Amino acid sequence: MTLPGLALRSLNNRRFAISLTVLTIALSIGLLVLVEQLRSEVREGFYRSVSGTDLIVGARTAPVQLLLYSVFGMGEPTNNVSWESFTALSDLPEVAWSVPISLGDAYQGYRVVGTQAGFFEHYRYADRQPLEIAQGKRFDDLFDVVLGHQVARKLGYGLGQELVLAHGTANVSLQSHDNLPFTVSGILAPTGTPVDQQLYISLSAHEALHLGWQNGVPRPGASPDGDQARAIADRLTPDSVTAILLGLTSRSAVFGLQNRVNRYTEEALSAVLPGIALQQLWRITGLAEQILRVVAGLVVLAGLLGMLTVLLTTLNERRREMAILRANGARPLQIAGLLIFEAGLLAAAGILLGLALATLVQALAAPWLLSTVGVNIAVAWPSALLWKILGMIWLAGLIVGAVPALLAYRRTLADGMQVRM
Amino acid sequence: MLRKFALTVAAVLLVSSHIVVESLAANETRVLEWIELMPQSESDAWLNDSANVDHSGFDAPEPFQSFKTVPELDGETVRIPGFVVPIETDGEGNLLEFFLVPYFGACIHVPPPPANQLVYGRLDEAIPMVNIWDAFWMEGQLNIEEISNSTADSAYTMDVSSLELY
Repeated sequence: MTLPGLALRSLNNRRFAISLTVLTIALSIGLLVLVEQLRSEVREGFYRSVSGTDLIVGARTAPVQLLLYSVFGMGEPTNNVSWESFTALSDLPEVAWSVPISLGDAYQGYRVVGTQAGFFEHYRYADRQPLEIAQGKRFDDLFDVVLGHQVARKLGYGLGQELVLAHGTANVSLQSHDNLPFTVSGILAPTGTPVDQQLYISLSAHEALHLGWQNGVPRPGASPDGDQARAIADRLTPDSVTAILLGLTSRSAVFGLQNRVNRYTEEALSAVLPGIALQQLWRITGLAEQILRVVAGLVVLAGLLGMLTVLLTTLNERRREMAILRANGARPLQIAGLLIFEAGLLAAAGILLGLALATLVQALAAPWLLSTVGVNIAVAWPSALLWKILGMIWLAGLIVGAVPALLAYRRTLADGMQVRM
Repeated sequence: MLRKFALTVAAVLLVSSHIVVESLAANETRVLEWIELMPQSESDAWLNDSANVDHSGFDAPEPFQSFKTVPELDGETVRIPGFVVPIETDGEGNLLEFFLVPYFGACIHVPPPPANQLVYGRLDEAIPMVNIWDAFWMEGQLNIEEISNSTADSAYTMDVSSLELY
């Protein structure tokens, strides 16, 4: 019988303890892989979300916060930007395009974004990819709404579906604008960005939603119905917008314009370069990432030590086994090899099972992450770095196996043939 | 006497040839100072401009702006140190296009650098995102790109061959 065959049979004989050991290693590896994969995927998801936008302008606030509420739909805007500032910015010679964004409303937990048709034209994600409309068209009528891919899929809405938008950004709204039903005019193709999680209406519609809401609550009889609102549609210019996305004619003007926006004396505004704000965001989250990595590494260490414990404790019980092997002509070196082979096998099984576990969890958690954080987590093949780490863990497993192997090697020389019961 | 003279000449020749060789080796990639990117006339104007800046009031004057470039630098392979401001990624979070700027951050205390004190770097292949708080040596071929025909404005771009930590 060959050495691997012997090892397998011996393992089979101790399958309960062994499978627990493999499970321990698998769980620790699974945690490590999950932390690594989520870390890189979340980062990638964030970077995918904004591209081709040179500056984001909002009320004076921290860059990270402006980026989070304007692009990722996270957190609340601090204040609005006046319509005058928006038109003044749009008219600057160095501004190629400007897209206003108005936030503040939600539909079943999905954000409603008031914007202009230019949004569909100028917004870019990933590698400067434009938005595509999978079905239907952009908003045309005052009460048209364009759905993000996930919104349409989750709610099961198709073209022509009527829906009533709510005021406020809570998941459940007590006050609906039920006098003004909207009709789905288009559904966007999937992007894997927060765009999938949002509904898009025109700025005028966003304004119409709040006609009669001037005091914060609707005055009875003050809210118009759909036709009344359509009649005054061209007068529905908002007083303010939440944020402005800017594209410049020349990128080299970006720092100058940013400085001018930040020093604008008419209104307290902030202009943010998306790339810088993203890096600032990573600086904040970087520490938490490092802590997660260290914890995952320690858990893997605990897993390997668990394996060592099991191998060492079973070594005593296996004296008989070793003695029989020796009696049948196995050399001490072969016995040591047998133990190292076992350890390598356990570590490999644990690593593979851990990978499978992590992939499963990732696949299960992806929809939840997409709907809560708005970041798309693709189940990805582990990166080269991760494979290297796993390879090193496997080597560490072999080294752990060398400890009982060394003991067995010395013992079989000393008391290999003695039978002490 | 003659022999001494000959020896001196030989020594001078040897030394000077050595210097030539050395300077040739150093010239392989020219290390550029940021101010060399600005035409002389502009830097004079800049000097005069900044001498008059009043930093005390609420109404800070318009910062000095300059969209003029030095035509001789077009096509030169140079090395220049600076900080990275990421602009475009490849969709997977890797850096593709960026500004190299002479000092870190969107400075709020002084006006931003004029446009000819920025180099827009393009990488052939995306590299893992770099830290914007680190300084880098950027090396590659410097180009001058027109911004608008009407005003003859231009700016620097670079086909970046390497970006390494300073």
